[in-house]
Amino acid sequence: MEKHYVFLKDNKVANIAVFAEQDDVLAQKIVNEQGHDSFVWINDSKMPSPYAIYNGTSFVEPTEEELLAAGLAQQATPAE
Amino acid sequence: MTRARTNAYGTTTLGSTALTLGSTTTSVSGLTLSSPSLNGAVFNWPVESWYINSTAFAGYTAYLQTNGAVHYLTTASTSNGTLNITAASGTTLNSVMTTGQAITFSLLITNTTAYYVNAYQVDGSTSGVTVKWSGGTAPSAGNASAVDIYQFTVLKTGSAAFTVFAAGPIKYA
Repeated sequence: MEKHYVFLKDNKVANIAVFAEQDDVLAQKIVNEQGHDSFVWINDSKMPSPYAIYNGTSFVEPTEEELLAAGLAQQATPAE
Repeated sequence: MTRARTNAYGTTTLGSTALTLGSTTTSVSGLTLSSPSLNGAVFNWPVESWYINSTAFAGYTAYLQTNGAVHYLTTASTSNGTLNITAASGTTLNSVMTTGQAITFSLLITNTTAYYVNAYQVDGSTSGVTVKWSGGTAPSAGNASAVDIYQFTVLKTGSAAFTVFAAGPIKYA
């Protein structure tokens, strides 16, 4: 089972990294070098979706509007 | 300032390292070279340490600075997973390499079922990482009942930007 760090930007999931073991020092270096705000060690828990919002204890899946705004979803076009 | 000193018996001390000067050879013991730059060095019989790890592959973080460039996972893989290439605990590859430098790395994973490495990260990120595969196609499966070997040449092309030339999995059984 993979273990992960989740990296946050503006409280949203910006990146997810696989780690063999918890390594907060390296995670902080990655935050510094890649411009994230913070990290969360989720061990082998289910990975959140990109742009999910972290409320301090859990991840809230993004709404369709938020995915549209982030360019991760496309508005359905009406059939002709 | 550290200076080289030679005593009356012909023993020279360089820093804290004593050099024994012989007629044909000079032996140096206990000398640690940190980040030396060797231009045109010839290694007559280089030996490289490899890292044996009884972990089963199911996603793996490779510490190259800590464990060297050959990692052998000896327990049978339990799933497909991501490979994260980094330098050491607390040290990113980005921080120890400069643009224009490269590092090579071999990953040996033991398979009963044909699991494989299905995603690649450098320093925990896929952003800024371009993976180019030997033959032009990324693998879609491993090899059952074999040791699968992957080989990577990681080029640092800019700050937190890497191009990874990847090959494998090659079946060894």
